[in-house]
Amino acid sequence: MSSSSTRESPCRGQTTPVVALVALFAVCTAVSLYATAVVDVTPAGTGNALADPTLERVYDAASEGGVVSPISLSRIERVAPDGYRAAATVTTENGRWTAGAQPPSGSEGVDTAARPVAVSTADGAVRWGRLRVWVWR
Amino acid sequence: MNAAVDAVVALLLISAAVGVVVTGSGAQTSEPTPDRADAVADALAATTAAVNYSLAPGVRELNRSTAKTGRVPPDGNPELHRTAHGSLAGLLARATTASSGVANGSRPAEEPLTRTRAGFRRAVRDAVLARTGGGVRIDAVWRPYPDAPVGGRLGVGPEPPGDGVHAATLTIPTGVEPVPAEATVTFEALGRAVAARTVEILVPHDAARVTLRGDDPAAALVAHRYARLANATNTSIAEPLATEDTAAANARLTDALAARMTGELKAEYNHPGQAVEAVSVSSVRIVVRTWGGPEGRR
Repeated sequence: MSSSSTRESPCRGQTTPVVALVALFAVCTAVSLYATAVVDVTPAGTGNALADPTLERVYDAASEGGVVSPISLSRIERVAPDGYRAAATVTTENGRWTAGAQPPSGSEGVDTAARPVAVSTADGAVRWGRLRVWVWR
Repeated sequence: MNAAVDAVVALLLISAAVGVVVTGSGAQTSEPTPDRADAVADALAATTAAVNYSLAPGVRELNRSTAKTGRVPPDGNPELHRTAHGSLAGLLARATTASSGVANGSRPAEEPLTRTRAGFRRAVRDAVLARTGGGVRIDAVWRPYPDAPVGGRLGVGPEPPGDGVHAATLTIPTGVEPVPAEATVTFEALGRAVAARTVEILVPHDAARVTLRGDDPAAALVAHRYARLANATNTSIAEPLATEDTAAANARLTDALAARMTGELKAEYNHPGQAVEAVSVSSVRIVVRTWGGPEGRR
C-alpha cells in the first residue's frame, strides 16, 4: 500500500524533465565541443585541394628554367581546372602582373595558394617575387 | 507541453553548436600555409642580386695586427668598396667559401681566416633575408669532407622549431674541378687532390697574384690572408710571396694540408673509393628549411 502511494506522488513527474534537460544540455555541449575539436584538428579541409595543383601548373606553364615571365602568365586560362575559373598574380618589390578573371570579393568559396618565384623583368634582371593563384567556381 | 519546451531548447542548443562549428572553421581557413622549401630553393637559385659591401672590416683588423694604425683609413675609402653580382644561391656559396677558415688548435674551422669578407657576408645575409622573410632558415655549408679541418658556414634566418619543418637542398659549384677519378687509387693521391682544391678555394692563385702586384689596400689584405693561412698550417711561404709567386706559395700550403688530410681520410675510411664518396670540396651545400607561422612576404 505504501509503495503504490510513492509511485503516484506528484513530485516525481515534475522533477524528471529538469533532470532530462540538464542531461540534454550536457549532451549538446559535448556534441558541439566535439564538433569544434574535429574542425580544429582536421587540416584546412578541402581548402587548397585545387589551388595547390593549379599553382604548380601555372608555375610550370609560365616559367622557363625556374624563372617566371609575367607575360606568359596569360596561359592561366588553359591550365585552370575544368569547370572552375582561375586568376594569378605575380608581385615583386616594384611591379605587379595579373592574369585571369577578377576573383570574387571575400574568401568564401575561393581557394588560394602562393609560392616564392624568380621573376624576369623588362630591364633584364631576375627578381624575387611571389606567384599567387585563386581558383573558384 | 513539456516535450515541446524540450524540443525548442534542444533546437536552440544545436543551432548554437552549429554556430560554434561555423565560426571555428571560418577562423581555420584564414591561417597562412608556409612556403614549401623546394619553392624557396628554386627561387634562391634563379633570382639574381647585386650586393654592395666594403673591405673595411679587413683593413681595421690588419691595422690592429700590424700596429700601424692610420696607414689605410678604412672608413669611407672608395678603394675598399666592392659590388658582387650573382644568383642569391651563388652569392651565399661565395660568402661561405670567402669566410671559411682553417682549424688550428682550439680554433674551429668555421671561424673566418680574416675579416676581409665580413662586409660581404653581412651584405649577402641581408639581401637574402630581405627576400625570404621570416619562417625560412637557410644554411650554406662548405666542407671538403665531413669533419675536415677547413670549412665555412653561413646561416640566414631564425632557428627553425623542432617539428613541422620542410627541407630542401641545393648544391652550388665552388668553381674548382671535382676530384678526378685517378686520384681515388690511393689515400695520398686523394688527400693531395682535395688539399690542392681546398687551397685554390681559400686563395685562388691567379687572382691573388694580380692583386698582390697592385698597390691598393687589397694587396695588403691578400698578403695578410696568406700570412694567416701560413700560420694555421705551420708553413713558411714568405719566400715565394716576395716575388708574388702565388703558385709556389699555394703548392707549399697544399703540401702541408695534404699530409693532414691524407691522415684524416685514412683514419676515417677503409678504402680511397669509399672516401671519395664523402668528398665535397667542389660544392657548397645549401639547406633550406621552412615552417608555419608568420609569412615574411605575401
